[in-house]
Amino acid sequence: MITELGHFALVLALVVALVQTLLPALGAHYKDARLMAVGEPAAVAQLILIGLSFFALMHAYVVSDFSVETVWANSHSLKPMLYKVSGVWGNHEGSMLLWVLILAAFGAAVALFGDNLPRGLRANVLSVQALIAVAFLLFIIAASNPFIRIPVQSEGRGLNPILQDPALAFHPPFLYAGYVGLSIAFSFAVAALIEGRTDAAWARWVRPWTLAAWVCLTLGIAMGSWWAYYELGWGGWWFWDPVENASFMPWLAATALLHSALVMEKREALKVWTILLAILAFSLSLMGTFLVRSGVLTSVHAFAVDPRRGVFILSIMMLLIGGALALFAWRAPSLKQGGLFSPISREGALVLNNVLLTVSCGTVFIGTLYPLALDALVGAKISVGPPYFNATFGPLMVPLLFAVPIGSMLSWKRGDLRGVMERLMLTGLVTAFALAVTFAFMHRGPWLAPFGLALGVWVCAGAVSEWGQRVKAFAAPWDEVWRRARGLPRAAYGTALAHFGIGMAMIGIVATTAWQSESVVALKPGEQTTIAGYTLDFKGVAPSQGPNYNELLGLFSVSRNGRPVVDLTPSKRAYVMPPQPTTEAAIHVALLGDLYVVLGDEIKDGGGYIVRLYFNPLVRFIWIGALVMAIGGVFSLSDRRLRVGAPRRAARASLAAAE
Amino acid sequence: MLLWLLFSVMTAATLALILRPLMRPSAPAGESAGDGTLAVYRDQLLEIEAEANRGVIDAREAEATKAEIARRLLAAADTREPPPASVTAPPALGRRMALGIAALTPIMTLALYLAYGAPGFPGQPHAEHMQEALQRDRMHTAQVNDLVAKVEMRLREAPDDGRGWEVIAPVYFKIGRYRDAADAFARAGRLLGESPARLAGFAEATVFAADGIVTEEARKAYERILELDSERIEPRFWLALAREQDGDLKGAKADFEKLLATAPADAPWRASVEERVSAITQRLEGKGPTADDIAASARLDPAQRKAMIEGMVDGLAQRLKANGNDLAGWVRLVRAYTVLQRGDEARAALADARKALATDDAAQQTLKQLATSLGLGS
Repeated sequence: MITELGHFALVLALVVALVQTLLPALGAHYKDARLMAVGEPAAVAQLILIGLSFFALMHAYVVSDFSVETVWANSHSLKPMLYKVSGVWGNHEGSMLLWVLILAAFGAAVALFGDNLPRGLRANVLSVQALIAVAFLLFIIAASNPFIRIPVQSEGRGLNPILQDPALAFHPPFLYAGYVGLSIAFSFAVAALIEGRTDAAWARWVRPWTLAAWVCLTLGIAMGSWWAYYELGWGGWWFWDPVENASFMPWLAATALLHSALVMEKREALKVWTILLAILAFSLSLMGTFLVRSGVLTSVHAFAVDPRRGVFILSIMMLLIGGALALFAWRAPSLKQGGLFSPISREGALVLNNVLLTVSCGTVFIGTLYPLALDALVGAKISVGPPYFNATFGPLMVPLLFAVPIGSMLSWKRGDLRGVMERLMLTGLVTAFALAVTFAFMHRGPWLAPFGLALGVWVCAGAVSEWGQRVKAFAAPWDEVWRRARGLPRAAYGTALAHFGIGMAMIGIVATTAWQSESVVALKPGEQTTIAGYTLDFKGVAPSQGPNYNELLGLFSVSRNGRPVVDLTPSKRAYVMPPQPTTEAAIHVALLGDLYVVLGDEIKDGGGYIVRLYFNPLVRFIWIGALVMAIGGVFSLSDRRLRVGAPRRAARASLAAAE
Repeated sequence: MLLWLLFSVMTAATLALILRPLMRPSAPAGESAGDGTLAVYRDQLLEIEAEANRGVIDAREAEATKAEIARRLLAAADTREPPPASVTAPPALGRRMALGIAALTPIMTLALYLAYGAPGFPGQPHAEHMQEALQRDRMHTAQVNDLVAKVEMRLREAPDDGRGWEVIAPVYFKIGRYRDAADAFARAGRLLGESPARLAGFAEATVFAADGIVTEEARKAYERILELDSERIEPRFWLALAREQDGDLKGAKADFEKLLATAPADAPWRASVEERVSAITQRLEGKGPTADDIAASARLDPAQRKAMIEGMVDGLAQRLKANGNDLAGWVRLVRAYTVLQRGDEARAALADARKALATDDAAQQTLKQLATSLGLGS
């Protein structure tokens, strides 16, 4: 009965979303306060109903109700409870339901906390938000309904073992919170286009929502990368795989949007940029969701397998993206331009940032979709791999990262490039030193790698230096520095942390890409092998049993220079339901890098086992960097001050007159 | 019923929540959108002042920022739209609209839900489902036992009721009382007249009662069936199996193969006959019992295994008593008795074998060697 209640609540939520789409928009158009006011309780009702529905589905998973088709197809009564709960979104239907749940949560947040928004804007935002919900709820109910019932089965088919990992509990919700959080920026952008204007309240709202979504997206992607790293057993952390790109593109667009919304809040400039990026970021999220969820990626022909889903997907994308872009083309020219600025200024630097991020997003877009389009149109199979992305995406990141410390030191409106360069002297020296040291240690190449590393150091040092100069470190007495450090707005810490984080990630990426060591050996029990200064003793294998799998543990003792370091036990698991093997890598984490051991297949006739070993230098920097970025975002988010960027030397009347 | 009640409550609560604003007395939008913007600027000005007072920004910076805000404020005030010509919608409109939505929502929801939902479908949590299945099983058994007891009572009063025996025989068989089933089939046959079906029932129950051994009684019954109806397949299968169990592997194989040759290609029993043929072939090639056989016997506990072996041995002894012209059978029986440490019976069997095969010199020779190798003397 609970299942049916959940199903009914879902259908009711669709009807409520329809009401929420129509009435507030009509109210905003005819300036009728009553009609507009329907939006808020409707958004709350929608959240409650979809929440009920979600918990009903979760209940079905927890009690293993195999009369529900998705539960039967994706769960098993012996599965540990953690995976019964997280398994709710470990499949297409359930994850779509999680998606709309988060969408409804964001909508309800606008309704509940949006008291200071102009009413017309709030009504339009809620209306657009509800339109997205209508499209998705229709899609769920008609083409991927999680509540479809079947004659009860005595046992379920189980969850893909690769997904049976604690990361499943966090990775998709964060990713979806990121994707869906961008819907707020989208709704605000469309509402602004409908009203034909943006104002201070608009920017004040868009920035924190975008920031929150960006933080979630950053964490979601980093978690996914980390998960793939330890679970898939390939020793890699990013594969430029279409599924990964699908989450990376919205991130790039959201990063640009974030910076642009900042300019808009402070300077009322870059309005058109902000609105366009808001539309693009959410459009890319939609595309990402669908690329992953529609099955287009495994095969373009998945559209043919379930034509209903494909048609739905295309219509939703056409309706939302096409509609928003058309509205943009029609209304954007009428938006009033904001503050003016010279090319060398903070605003100018952020425009450069937007251009580079958008173009790099474009290269990823082409690399991801071109093979799909080619396959769909002429049936040719090509694969676009890391070489393409390294050759196109990489070079775009170089000027971007180079400009990060410079741009964040330029002042608003018109900057003094020479002054900034002088202030970056110390940063430059640190970078040059890092470059020299890297060359001294890694003189056997590859030649470009030390420069990449130095670029990361440049970004990190720049972030530290900017903070140092703002608190007058080394230039003022300590108590003055302390007072300044405390007085510095949290948003400034946010910026410094986020930029430091991206620098760290860059260092990690370059180091692990350029200097990874890899070795594949056949080992018999009692034999030894070495990699990157570590010696591994293979002691043998031992069987072991988990709740729903049997595994074979490989026993290794690792030593370095004769001193024991750690015992590692990589394993091969055979899951019972569904019967599928997985490899569990064993990873030893150290300051300089990860030792990564995978137990491979047994060689016939007592030849021992294939063992794959990797040493990934500084690979942790990538995820720590992402975490630092996200923490920076949280800092900035917690700073709820109103922001107005004053031109630094604007006290002179002549400048004010120039406007 | 409860479900529909909950649906109604959910719908009513939702409607009450979302339609409340429409029920309020009509009022035009109190403030134009511009007012919110002006409020933001006013807040910003206040905050700049607060920050300047706290010393976070210096006075010059504060002045510059305030000038910037003031500029924006003026610009916003300029573009501020004239207040709307108060569109006082008639108060009835909101109410009418509310009514329309209140009427349409349940209809749409219900239509969509009925298209995809399954309102009569109860939840089936795994644990409950298993519990119910067990319960059903137990209830079923109890009912059957009840029924059997009733029929048994009647048969005690009227043991000559052939129909009664005929009814109860297959039930006995189903609930695993094979000996009773065989007895009931036999009585039915006696009282109602011999028929292939009754004979087959009797024979099958006998085989099951003997743990799969085709005993002499069963064999006779099957032979009798073939006399009555030579077209029947299953007696031929069981008879071939009997030969296999007696150790006449070649003969059994030939019988099975004959059976296969006459079998239609889609006969459901083909697979089991083929399985027998391949098992016999393997044994003929000296590979012994199949892995499956061993696995099956390994699954039994020691007592069960012993019982199974003894059942097999007794069946063999019975059969040889009736038809002693089977050297391989005798050899197997003697060996089995020795292994089971039933020495006296081994000796007795050896003596019986000699008597039964008295005219066969080669057989006498084999039996002599067997006796020596097993240390049975004489």
